[in-house]
Amino acid sequence: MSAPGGFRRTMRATMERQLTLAAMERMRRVYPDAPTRAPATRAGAVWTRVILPAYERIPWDVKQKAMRSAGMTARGWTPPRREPGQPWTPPTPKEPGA
Amino acid sequence: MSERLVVIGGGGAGIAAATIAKRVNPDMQVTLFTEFEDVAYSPCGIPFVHGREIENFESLFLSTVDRYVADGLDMRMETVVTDIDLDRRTITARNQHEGFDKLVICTGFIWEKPDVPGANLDGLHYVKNIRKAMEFDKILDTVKTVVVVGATPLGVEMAGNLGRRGLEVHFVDEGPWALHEVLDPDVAQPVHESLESHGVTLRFGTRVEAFVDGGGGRVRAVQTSDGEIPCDLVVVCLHKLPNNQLAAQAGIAIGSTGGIVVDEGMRTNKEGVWAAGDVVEVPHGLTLIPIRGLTGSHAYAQGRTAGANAGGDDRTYDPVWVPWGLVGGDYTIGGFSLGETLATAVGVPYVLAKGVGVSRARYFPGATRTHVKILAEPGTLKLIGAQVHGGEGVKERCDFLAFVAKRGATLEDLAWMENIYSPPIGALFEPIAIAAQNGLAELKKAGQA
Repeated sequence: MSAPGGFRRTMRATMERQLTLAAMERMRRVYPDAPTRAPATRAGAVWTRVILPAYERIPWDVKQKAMRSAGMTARGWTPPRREPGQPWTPPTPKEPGA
Repeated sequence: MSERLVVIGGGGAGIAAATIAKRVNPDMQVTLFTEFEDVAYSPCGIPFVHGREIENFESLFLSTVDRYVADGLDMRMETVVTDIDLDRRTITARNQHEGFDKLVICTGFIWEKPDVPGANLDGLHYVKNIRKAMEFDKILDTVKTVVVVGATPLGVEMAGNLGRRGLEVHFVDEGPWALHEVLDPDVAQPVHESLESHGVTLRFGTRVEAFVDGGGGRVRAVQTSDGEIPCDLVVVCLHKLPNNQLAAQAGIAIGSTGGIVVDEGMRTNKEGVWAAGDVVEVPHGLTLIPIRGLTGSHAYAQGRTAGANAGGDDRTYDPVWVPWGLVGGDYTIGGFSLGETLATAVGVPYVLAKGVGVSRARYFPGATRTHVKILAEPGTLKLIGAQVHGGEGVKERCDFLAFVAKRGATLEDLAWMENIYSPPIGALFEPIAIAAQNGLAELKKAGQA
């Protein structure tokens, strides 16, 4: 029996792994004292030559919009309001008995 | 007739859900099923008993089963739930069907097992159940060499504590530094030094290839990409996987992390069914991407929300900014949300603000250096993550930073924050403010602020 979550779970796990390996290698260049190299990827050329470079080139706000419209972000949740300089206001009190 | 709530799971989320539901709705009949003998203890404390920093396992218990029974809960100990039938509104345990009106699923996690030959040998230990930890602790008295596999938070704590106990510890991970999935290499460095000072041999960049049978089905060595490491025992500390089989079989939606999908009321896609703790996925506050495998305090808070709502209340749980912290060897590290490595992996752009301060007046005994690294959004300078390390006060700073990030604070806000100055407990210059001021100065120099 396949693991619950199926294809989406496998894709996400693979993507996370490959992105993390690439990020660790970049961090090693930023902090050259880091002791060892990131493990070599065994994901194949499609990942390393096509998918990862394409992902890295897309600006973050475009990625975010794409992830939201593709249903990759959580649904049924209220995003917290985070406008800079705007004071925090407490949640609206509920009507008694509501 | 009163409603019946069934809670599956006796960890932090399950206990919180059951007790809060009963408190919100005292007329509700609440039954909790757990496969284990105990509830209400701190599994996170287990490594520190092994390290003999905490004297005994009994200290880890926070309450007793009798106390929950006295509070009106129906506690079904050592009882495995094998099936959920949502059409009939029944669960099956010990071949008996029991009805429910509402259900909270808190089945927690299972450990990832190494996918290499020999993973089923005796002598491989997983840290979870306190009774097993008690038995394991006696075995530790009889051995000399232990291999800890997996530089996860638990792996770091186990390696450090077994080193503190005087054992020869080899700490193995394929990744390049400790906690490499969340921690940045500059913050990992002092953790490495502290672990080594406890006698831990670090073997990062080393892949486990097999566990070697010493005869009779018991491990005698770990075969790695860097040669064979003879050992008496192995402690496996890989990833936590959501224990989702029961929920998935009942048709409850499972998300991209493998966790149960819930909304902000911890409701699943099925009417009258909630879920909480390590088995669910919740959105990250910055990205709204679902994540899971958080801390005990997250599990407890989620359980409270689920229990209150199952009891008839209407509460919400916020997306998470994940403040975290731990002690590696003797060195305290922490953070919230994203570090540089994770931000780079996800592709979130950031500017950096770094600074070093002291935890109390520098002349006061016990003062330690506190390193702060803050990540902020370019342009708006809103906080998106941080990593903090040093001695005292790391935890409080990470909690504070996660909270203010959630409320939209910026580097400007932190640069001009008020802080306590009292020589025994706080220095004149707050390390967070120092980092923010440094960051703003660097940005100004670069023409970005």
